[in-house]
Amino acid sequence: MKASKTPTGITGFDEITAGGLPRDRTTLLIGGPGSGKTIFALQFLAHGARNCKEPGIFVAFEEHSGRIVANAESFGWKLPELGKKKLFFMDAQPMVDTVQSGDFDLCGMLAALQMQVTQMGARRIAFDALDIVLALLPDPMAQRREVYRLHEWLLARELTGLITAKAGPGDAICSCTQPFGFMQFMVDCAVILNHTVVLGASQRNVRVQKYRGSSFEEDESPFQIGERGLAVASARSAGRADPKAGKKVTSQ
Amino acid sequence: MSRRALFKFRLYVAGDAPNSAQARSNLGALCRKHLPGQHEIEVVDVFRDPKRALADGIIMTPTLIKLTPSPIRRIVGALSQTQPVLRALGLGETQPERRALGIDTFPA
Repeated sequence: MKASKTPTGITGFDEITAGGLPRDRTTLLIGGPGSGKTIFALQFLAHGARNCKEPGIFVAFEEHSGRIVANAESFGWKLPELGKKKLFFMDAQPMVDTVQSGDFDLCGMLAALQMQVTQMGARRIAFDALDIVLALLPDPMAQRREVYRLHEWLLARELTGLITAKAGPGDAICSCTQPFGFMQFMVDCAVILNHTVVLGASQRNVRVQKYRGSSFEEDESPFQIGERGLAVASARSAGRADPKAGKKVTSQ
Repeated sequence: MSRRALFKFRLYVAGDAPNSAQARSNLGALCRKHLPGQHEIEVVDVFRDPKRALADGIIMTPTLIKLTPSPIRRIVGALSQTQPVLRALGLGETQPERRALGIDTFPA
């Protein structure tokens, strides 16, 4: 049986995954700072809300949602036009002056999200920079417990989830690094974004690390952050036919 | 800070999760010891009252909010380490020498 998929609207990415992210399942998106994780997540939600009748929720652990929307303005997605019923932002940045004493969990957030999911009939949800909140937990066991709680919550509600987390190149390769190694085993799909500078030239690559129940392009594919957001140069689409396409892609 | 000021607390809990239950009992014990007769505690269950959790921006549970006296402070967790809690509440300055020695002033 073929895995059901839901399109991201990201040029080229839906080709290398033969349809997008696994529907009603969870995808982990890993990358270093500035690798494009937030834009990927936002593009996925904006496409769902605008083109797929799939309202979405963006949970912002790191950057304030106002700044995220402002930064995305140049891509022409017209996010404010969508309205809160189609794309809801939840600000979940830990307050800087918060004192922590002892163990805690994410039930508070999940209770609030549950209400929001029901109200707007959300189908997609992105947790941006989950590493921020996990870092506050007292020990690796508590981190695993909360990741597991989040994953179970998403599965039980049949939401298509996207969790982004910061990780250095070493972390992404070594799947024993906690807690993301654990997450990589748990989720149905894992995607790695890589940003390097080679001979002074910025180079961005995306690689699908795993995709349960589906074939996928296993090699790295170059991508750009262009005028309309992320655009992946996909060998499966026009890349092989046009030798230029593998090097540079225009945004549309 | 006046020690006679009324301390108003709001404690967000997640049903009967173990860390939430711990926070309840730790807060109760702390208030009895350090704030007898000058505290009010309101407990809000996020599962019963998610709207308030959303309005107050509650991500983690348990979360304790000290509403008065100002400044408003937030403390996340089961409140199992007493010293950071007392310091955050402005109640920790009284015994610097004991703190320096790493002796917990609570429980007695």
